Amino acid sequence: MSAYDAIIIGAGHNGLTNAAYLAKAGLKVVVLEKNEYIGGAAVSRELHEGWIYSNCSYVCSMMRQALHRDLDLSRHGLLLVPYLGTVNFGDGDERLFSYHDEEAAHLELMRHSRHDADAMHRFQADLMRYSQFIRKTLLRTPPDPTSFRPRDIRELIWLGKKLWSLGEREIYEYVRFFTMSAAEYLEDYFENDLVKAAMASPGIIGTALGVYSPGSAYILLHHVMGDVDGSIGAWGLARGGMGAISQALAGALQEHGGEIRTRAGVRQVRVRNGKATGVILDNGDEINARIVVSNLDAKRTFTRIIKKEDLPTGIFEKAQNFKIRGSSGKVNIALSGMPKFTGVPDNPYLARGGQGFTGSLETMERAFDCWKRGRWSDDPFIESVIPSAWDPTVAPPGQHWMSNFVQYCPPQLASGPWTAEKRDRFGQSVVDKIERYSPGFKDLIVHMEVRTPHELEQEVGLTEGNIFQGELTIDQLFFNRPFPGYSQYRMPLRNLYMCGSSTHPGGGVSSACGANAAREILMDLRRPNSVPEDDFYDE
Amino acid sequence: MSLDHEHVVLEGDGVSGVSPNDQNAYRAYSRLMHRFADALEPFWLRTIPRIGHNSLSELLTFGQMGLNIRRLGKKDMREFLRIISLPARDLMDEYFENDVMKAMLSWDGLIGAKMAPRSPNSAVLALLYRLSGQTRGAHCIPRGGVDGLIQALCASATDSSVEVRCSATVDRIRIEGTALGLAARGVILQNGETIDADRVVSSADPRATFIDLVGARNLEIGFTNRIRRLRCDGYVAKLHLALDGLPEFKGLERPGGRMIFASDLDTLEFSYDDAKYGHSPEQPVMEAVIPSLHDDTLAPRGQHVLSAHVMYVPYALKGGWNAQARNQLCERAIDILARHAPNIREQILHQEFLTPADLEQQHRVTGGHWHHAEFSMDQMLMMRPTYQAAQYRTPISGLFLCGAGCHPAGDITGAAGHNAANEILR
Repeated sequence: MSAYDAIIIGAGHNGLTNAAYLAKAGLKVVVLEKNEYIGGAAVSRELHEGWIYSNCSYVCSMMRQALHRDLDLSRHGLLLVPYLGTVNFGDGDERLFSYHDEEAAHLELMRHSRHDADAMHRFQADLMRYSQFIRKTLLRTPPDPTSFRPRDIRELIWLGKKLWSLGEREIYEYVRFFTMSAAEYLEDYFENDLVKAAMASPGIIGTALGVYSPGSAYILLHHVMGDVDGSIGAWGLARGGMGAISQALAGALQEHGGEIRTRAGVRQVRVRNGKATGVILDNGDEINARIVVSNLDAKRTFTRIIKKEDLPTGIFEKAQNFKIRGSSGKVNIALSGMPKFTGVPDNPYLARGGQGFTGSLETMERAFDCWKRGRWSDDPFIESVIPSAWDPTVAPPGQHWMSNFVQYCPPQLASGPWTAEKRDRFGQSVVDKIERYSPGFKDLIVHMEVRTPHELEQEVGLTEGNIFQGELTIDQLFFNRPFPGYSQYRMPLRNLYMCGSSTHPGGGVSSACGANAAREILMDLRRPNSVPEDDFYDE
Repeated sequence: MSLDHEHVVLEGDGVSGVSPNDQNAYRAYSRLMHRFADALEPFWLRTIPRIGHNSLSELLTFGQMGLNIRRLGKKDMREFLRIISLPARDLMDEYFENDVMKAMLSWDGLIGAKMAPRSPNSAVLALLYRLSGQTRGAHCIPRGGVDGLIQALCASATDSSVEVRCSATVDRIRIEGTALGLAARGVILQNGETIDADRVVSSADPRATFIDLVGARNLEIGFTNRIRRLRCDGYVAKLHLALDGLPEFKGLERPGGRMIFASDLDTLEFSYDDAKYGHSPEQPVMEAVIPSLHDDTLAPRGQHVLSAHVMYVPYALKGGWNAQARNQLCERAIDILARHAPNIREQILHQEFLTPADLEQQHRVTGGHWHHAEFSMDQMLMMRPTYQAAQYRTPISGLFLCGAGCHPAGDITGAAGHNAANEILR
């Protein structure tokens, strides 16, 4: 007799989403979390008194609207507030401001290049069309192209029809977009280097590719296909930090009777006769369940918590070859006041927005070259935001916290393993770069938390600290994610499923992986299925 | 070629100089790659139709393409769909341990393109393309050099009463407006002579054809933009050495085959890193052959010719190519050779080094690109060189393309010319 219908390993946003849908369908579920707090990489933590850091993920856009509404996350306390503008810093004195307001954005671009100001409309329109197409696939289970089952064939035909309806020219453009490098794709539109660099920067976030690596254009798209309240491509903050998302999901889960246990790390998935039957915790406790759902990444799931001899041949090797490369760092800084950036006008739109320390395409690519050689760059790409500028709940009055996402940071250094001293030097290189654009910045620092891939792996449990739970390259996307033949959330052992970002559609705090996995599980258990398949704002 | 002279030698289906593990892995790898190459083989010799308005025969091409891949079987088809876009480095890391072997086997996926071992999307396709054909990936040297091949083609053409005129540089293609749009009516040579014809077939690269010979004013603006943006900067230079004798390569009995001078994947990657910013590589990587070992018409008895492809040499060198930059790089390349054949410097009677810029000038190939236009997923199949010109026809009626810039690509396969002829005859 099983104590639970389902065990979900890992209380990240996907695990919670998955559990919420299973609980909603009447299953008895428990979510097991190794840390004492829930959220995985969507957390808010008070690491210095008075300051609440979103110390992993820091902005939100890809959260599926359909799930947000379906699980009623707003009632559970989730409030998303959009950015109003962004500053991009060039290598020298150039600054590029982007505004939400179209006319302001256009006038600003004119300052850099009349050509680019016009091209931006074309670029945005193209990007929107491409993201409209891909958004349709996010909440659907990828078909298996090698299968002849009616469902797979139906889904392939659906996909083919959608693609066909784009028209010949659009399909070609689409293929180009999918396979080119961000930099080369942007050359098609823009001439100004800072404009190109600013637009290319989403193409490298979280990935072990450079702006000149083929395939980075898709990652760019992956970052702009989200929305904040229907405004596609917009980014926003969750009030109270990213932990608010996890808390809201946990609220929805508990409302439906789900259970969450913290400090309950899973040592091993128990397997009997090729079936997952439960888990063994770090403290030796055993929990039985009809099914086990892993929210851990594919590599961790198959090389750490399942015994190799329990797996069918070849799966262990597939998991080892799974590309999950750490490439990003994070520096969270508590500040005693608002930093002033040189050359940035004082207006409320830019104050309530992000800062991109972009430099140029070459600067970003050179940072990637350092990563390849197992070093961090002294001139890294940093994407920052000061959430306290428009969220009073995360820092004491008049004081601020700044989130700095750093691309690139290698998981293994050529000079040997990460140490506390090296980590601090890495943090210092980030502060030095910001100081270049904001003299006096160092004096404002009250507290600083530096996170390299090493810390992300140790604390959050992301292998190598890869924020997407696996590279977003074609060989690991859609029906290839995580492995060919296992893209439908069912794993090689019976009653074992995966629901993390290692599955389609990949990372980015979208909750789509968890929801899609729930749909498949409920289908297998022959339960009524209420997981949405279409997104709210798509036709 | 390994730096410590423990070279990895590939001969037929076997490989020596590596661990038994790698030998077994190579057999599995080679079997799989050949299966994939065979599945793709029929499509290199065929026009890839446009998407959309298709005739039955065109739909059949797509159908067969799908069927061929499906016929690999479930397991292999899945593997195919996964590895087709892998970077060379990941593919090699999955199979092999030996660094020299990884670099050697990646080489054919990278040469000629602006791609490094870590670049995703196109390297495996390039590998598969090169594994197809009569010799299944093995290289041959035509008697009399490549010139021998050209002479044979020329003889065959002349036999079919083709007239070949040399020193007849085309200045532009004559375009006339007709009721149905613009049509090619012949060519005007640089000496002013006009040759009339109903059809003009250009083997020049797409950018030269459309921008120089046709002219932007005869083309729609979106099309012109796409042609201008074709990625066709070459990254391969050519080194020729006339040698007084046969160089002795340490650890190698007889330099009779292709020698690849890249000791590991990082060497390739870092050499590419220099080139991508427009710098000349500190450590060039290259493949070299000594064709005179197989063909005694190429050099006087006892003397030899060495011919090498040097990567990654940027077409657009920062500061531009001049004699000094060329000599410097040439010396670096010879240094690499000398590391393996210490006395090669004393044997050199004459040397020639052609950068992509030189190749552009000598052969009028834009960017000096090996394939006329980068062989990458976004410039492949029905998008090669770009849509609206990918089925050998162009927006100008009567004007056809037949060069390496068309599907399938370069590498002296003759496939583009063959496919174009089929289209014209239709």
